[in-house]
Amino acid sequence: MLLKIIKKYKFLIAGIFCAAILTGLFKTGYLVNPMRYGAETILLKWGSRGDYVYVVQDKLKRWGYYKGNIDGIYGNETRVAVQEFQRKNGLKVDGIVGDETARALGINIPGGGKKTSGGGGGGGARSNELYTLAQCIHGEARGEPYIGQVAVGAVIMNRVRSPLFPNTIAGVIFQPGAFTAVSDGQMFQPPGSTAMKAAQDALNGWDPSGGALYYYNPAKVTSSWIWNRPVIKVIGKHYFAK
Amino acid sequence: MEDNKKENAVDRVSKEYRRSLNIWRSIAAVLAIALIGTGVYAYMTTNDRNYYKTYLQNQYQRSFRDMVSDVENLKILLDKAEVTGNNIQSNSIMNQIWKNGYSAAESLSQIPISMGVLEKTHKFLNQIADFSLSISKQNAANKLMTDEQANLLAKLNKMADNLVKELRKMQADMNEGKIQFGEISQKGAFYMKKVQGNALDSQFGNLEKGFAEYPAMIYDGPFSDNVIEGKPKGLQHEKEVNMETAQERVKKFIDGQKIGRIVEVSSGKGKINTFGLEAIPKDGDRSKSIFIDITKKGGHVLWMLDSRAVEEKKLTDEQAIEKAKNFLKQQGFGNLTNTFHYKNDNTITVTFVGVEGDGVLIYPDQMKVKIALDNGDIVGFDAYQYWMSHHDRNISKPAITEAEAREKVNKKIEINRVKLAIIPLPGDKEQLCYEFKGTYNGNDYFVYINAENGNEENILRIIKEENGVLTQ
Repeated sequence: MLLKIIKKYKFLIAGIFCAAILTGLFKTGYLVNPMRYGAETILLKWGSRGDYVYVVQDKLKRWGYYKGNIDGIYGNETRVAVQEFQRKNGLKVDGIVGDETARALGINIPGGGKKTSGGGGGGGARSNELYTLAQCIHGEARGEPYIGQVAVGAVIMNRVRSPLFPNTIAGVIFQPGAFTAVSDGQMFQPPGSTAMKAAQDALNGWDPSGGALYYYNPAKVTSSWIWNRPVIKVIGKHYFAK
Repeated sequence: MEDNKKENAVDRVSKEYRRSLNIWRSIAAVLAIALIGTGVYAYMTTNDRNYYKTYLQNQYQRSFRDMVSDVENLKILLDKAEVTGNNIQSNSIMNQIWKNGYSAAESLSQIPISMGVLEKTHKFLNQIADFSLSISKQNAANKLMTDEQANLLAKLNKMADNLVKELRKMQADMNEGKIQFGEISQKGAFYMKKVQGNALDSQFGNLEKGFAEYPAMIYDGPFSDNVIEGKPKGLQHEKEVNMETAQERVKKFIDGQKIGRIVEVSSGKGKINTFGLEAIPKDGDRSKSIFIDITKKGGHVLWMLDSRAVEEKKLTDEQAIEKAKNFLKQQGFGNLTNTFHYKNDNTITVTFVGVEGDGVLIYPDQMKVKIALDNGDIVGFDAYQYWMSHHDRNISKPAITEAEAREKVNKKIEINRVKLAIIPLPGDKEQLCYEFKGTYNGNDYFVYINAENGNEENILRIIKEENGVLTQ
């Protein structure tokens, strides 16, 4: 019986089998580009998911507007909480976290926010740099103490100012082999709010690294060269060196 | 009958045999198709991989060749710079060196060499560019190179000569296929881990040989060695303090009531030696710790960061700035005034600069204070710039009057405020200037006119965003 079926549809079954293998490969991401570029959208509404929804829920919960779980899913409860927040703060009550509401919540969503005066793209350039810096910090140092994250951002800023390295933030971050998280693509994820905050502090000039140009995790280091650099600080798992 | 039975048995056997044969055939067919599928897939990915590999090789080749031609141009320009005797000509040559040097450094930074292998080459290219820019400015002010500068340039030229020779050798090797960038582009792939492109590193390492006697480069630029190795002027005459004093300072800086205990976490030997301390709150929750670095010399707060989540905004920007001012006064920094500010995540970061005499702004003496907009707590402090540059200054009377300086400002700008200010100049220098704040075409500007000779030293454009006021 089974044999008959197999016999009759052997090509079909084989086809399905192959298709299954290929789909499997696609699903695991071998055949598609795993990188994700660009900023998160400014608008959060019913059905939105992701890091910024966590941030919104977290804030609304702490401020007593939201009673549900902090799950990163913008459901009805979140919408109602946003509406109440908007009502209390004199914003348009639409249950959508747009530019205005995000600002009132104190969230800096990169790329968002229109300038009120002044031509040119100065501010825009700044927030793009902030985002890239935050991505790199997130990829390299998430899980490190807060000042360790600021210090990684500061190392990037110190490199920009050093003649030994490229002279722009993007130049430093994308220098081949400079950062593991950039080489393996881990950097191309939306940074969490902590990394954004750390990037802002590093951009504003805070330097917990003590002027370091390098850092490494002694447990993971592969190049012996780095051991010869004088270590000036240890923060969390990272050694910071000149 | 016997025969029939036999035949039946044979029949049955052959039927069973055929049946199992069919099963095996089907399995074989399925496997064969799967194998073909896998084969096709492997072929496709190999193709893709080779395509990307070639693409990457080509990009690296391009960066390398760009660099070679930039360095070749640089060498010719340096030869010319040594023999020119005319300001206008020198100015133009220096500007070309600047462009070629930076562009060569940029191409170099795109080549996949391990960290540190080409450090000196990179420094050479960036500094020669920076150095020539400072000479070009000097030329524009109608001054030729000094003998000292000419000597430095001659030394650099010799090094450029060596660099060109090595690069040409490499290019020849590359043309013969002895050097391939592809090797290193596969670094990280598990089957290539053992080779890790060290061949490439050692080839490029040859470029560094010529820089054994690299001179100290002191000139008026941001990459000048005296800027990079600068010592904190503000701590020169201070005495070393011990841990207890440092901890006392922390308790004075942060509200002592909040602190449970202070532990040393990350003391450092950076440009400024510090005690790296963590102030743990009374409830012992280290996620709410405040981090603070105290200078070993003098026991001053170098920076502080409190990463606590900031609640709903309750303060206006003005109230927050007022809090920051009071805080600085209470900490003993009397002569400071706020300039710019930037808001982020319900905090506001305010920049303060020094004030001396009758209101002369001291821009190099800079401090930043970060205030939480929920309750006005100080959640960040940074005085690195301040301690690097603060010293006793003898501010001389301006040699030209305000009216004379005003004449030097572009007439298009509508001036609405004038102040005297000391501003930092490239090369770790300072200059007393008239600061004119004005508007043109809807944009706000600061124009700085040298108070000694009337030169325009700098222009800053003010950027007003809803998050704050900055300059560029």
